[in-house]
Amino acid sequence: MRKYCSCAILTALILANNIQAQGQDDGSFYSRYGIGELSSFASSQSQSLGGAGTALFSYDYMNFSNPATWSRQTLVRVAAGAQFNRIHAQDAGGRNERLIHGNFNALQIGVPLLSTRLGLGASYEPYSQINYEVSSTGTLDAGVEGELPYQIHHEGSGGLRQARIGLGLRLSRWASIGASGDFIFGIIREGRRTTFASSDLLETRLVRSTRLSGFTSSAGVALSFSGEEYEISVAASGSLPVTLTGTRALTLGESLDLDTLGVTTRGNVKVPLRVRGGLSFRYQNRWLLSAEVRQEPWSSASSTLPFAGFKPNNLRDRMRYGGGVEFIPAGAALQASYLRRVAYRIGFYRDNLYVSPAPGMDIAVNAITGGFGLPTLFFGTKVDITFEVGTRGSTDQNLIRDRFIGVSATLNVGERWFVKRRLG
Amino acid sequence: MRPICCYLLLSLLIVAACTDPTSDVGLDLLGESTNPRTKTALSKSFSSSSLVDITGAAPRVLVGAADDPLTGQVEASGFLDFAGQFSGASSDAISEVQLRLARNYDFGDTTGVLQFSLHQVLTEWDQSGLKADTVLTIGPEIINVNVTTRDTLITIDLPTAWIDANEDVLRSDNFGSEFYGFALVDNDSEQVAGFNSVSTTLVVTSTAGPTTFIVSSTYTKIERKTEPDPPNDLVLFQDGAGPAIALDFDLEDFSNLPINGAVLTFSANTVASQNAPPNFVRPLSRRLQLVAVASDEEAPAILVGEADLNEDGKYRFSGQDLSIFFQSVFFGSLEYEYLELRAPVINNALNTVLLYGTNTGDMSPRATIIASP
Repeated sequence: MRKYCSCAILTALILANNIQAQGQDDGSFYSRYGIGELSSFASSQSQSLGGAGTALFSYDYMNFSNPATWSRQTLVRVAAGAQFNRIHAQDAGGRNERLIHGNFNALQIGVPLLSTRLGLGASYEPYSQINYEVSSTGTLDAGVEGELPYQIHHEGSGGLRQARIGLGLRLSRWASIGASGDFIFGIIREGRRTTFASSDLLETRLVRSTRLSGFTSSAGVALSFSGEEYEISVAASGSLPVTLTGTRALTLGESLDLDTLGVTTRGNVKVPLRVRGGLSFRYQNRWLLSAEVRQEPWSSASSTLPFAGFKPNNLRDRMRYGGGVEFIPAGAALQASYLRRVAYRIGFYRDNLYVSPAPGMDIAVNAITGGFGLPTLFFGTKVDITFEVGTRGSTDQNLIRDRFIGVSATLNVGERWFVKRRLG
Repeated sequence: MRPICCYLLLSLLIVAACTDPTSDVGLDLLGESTNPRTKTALSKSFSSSSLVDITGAAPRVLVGAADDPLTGQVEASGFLDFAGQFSGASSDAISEVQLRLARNYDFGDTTGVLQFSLHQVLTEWDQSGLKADTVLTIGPEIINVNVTTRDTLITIDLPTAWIDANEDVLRSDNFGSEFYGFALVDNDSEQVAGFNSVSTTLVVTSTAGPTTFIVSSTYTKIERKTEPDPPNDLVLFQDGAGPAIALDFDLEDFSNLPINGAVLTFSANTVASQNAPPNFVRPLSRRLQLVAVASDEEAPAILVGEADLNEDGKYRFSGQDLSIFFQSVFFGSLEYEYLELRAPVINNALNTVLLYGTNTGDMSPRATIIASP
């Protein structure tokens, strides 16, 4: 089983890079703003429950929304997944477009250092994503040259990634704490290709590449109160503000034939504190309710490197609410029929983007989430199918309304490692 | 169950990598800040420059002189070398040698005299890259030619004495290397004629019949005797004799600017360019070349572009090569000392044009740059 686990990690990493390279074309136009569209993937379970994972303890999933939950591990766990999104975008001008893109969700690893007392967690996941393509046409009045029709192709790709490693410790029967070191890094690319109908004119392909990195830390605390048939958890976690430093270069040309325009500029982006609080209630191992609130004061963010919309009036404090319910008909009974052992989940969330193209206006995101946790023949290993359906923004003030459907699949592999073999 | 799970995950990953065509949703949010725009740079210098044209290896040679009230006095001498093989036997007597000049160009007073003397060139010469001030060694006058008609074919019968003296060379198997050609030296002409080297022949008639030698090398020596006198605000350009025009633009604001195109426009005063006394022919320069001259005099000039005179009386240089040139200049990967307008080294001519100089308003030379900000 261990070699399968290693293969799964390797395959996930290869495919993840592949997807990052290819699946960077058609996402939401809102990802053009700020440092991109923020993403977080705590676990496939919490994703199905509206992203409400702060107070979610589980033996079957690593939960990266709160390092305190890493304390309750019994199996070495590896999870990797990918997401497929279809967006129907409509703007104020009545233009419609159906967009498809995919991205790697996360690669997560959990190791129980002391079973159910001390656990290690590590992950590699997207922090933000830039993923758009828009083409515009126009005519340039070139005086005696007449009207010159042109097309500008705008595209954005890349984004920031996050590598985390930390520990979760159960202090007592009811209290756990955890902390992690988070390294954020990546490249944001914004490209613009201008072409003219006239063959006399050159095509220009300008790419603005911003390389950023920074180190921060996260911490969490969770309190659990359990009875014979229930468990109530209250938890909070947060990440410290981080200053991402980096360089920006403007290049002209294609692939190897690049000219760097001007000097490379240095700068930084100050990302605010991220805090979240949550509550969960588990009953008879059949029912699980989870809810959380996140708050990120992005109005205090700043950047010395210009990004679209990264201005005081466009930066919005982010408030996200989410919650959901999970139902496993068989509860903990392993001998029940397959369908009764499946976890059925449904949830919702309401969010607003941290940056808005329209000053002073929040871009709301509302979605219904759901999914299934499918058991496998291997104890501790599950495949999770998650979906979300929602809307993002509106067509007011020349904005865009995205109606999106997302489906993701995550392989959660769990197995027992470091078991001493007994002779005889 | 495991294979199904793996297939499911793999399928999703593959599908996730697929993409749709480009969207146009969101155009209203883009604004106009990224739209291409034009920027105009006026010339900071635009003046006559001395240029010794390359006149060797051209398909036309010029002969004669013209005293033009606009361009000044210019004198031209043509050089023609021949190649071929005598068709008769080495003992065949040569009875006649004719130089047949095919006229295809006129400059100056067409009612005036065209008079030149024919000389034999005494030393070997290489036509390639020969400049208009190159002096070739010539022998004494063979015959003086006075052309009074405007016939397109001028036939010159070489005197018997010259035939007798050169009979062996004309019949030689090594005629091409032993004979160095003729020089047609102006002799107080009032017009300049051009002779097409392709149709110009040397016909040697012997008892075996005629042998035609064709032109193998050409060169025109052009000498300016007096300076031109162009009107104010206009800058004279003349092919062959010069002057060319040196110019440059103020491009400091364009440093590191990505560009889609560049158009350089030079306006001509075609009326003034052709304002001449009665019967005086002064052809217009229909095509100009733009070259970039390096600070290193030994370095060859870079051909930036060519433009024809259009119906609006403008030379408009454009095209990808020109754009790439200016893009390289803006990025600092290419440097030059100044730009220069020259005539294409296709044919020898004394064609002329008067161009508007700086401070002539809309007619001023200008560079229009189409840039992506």
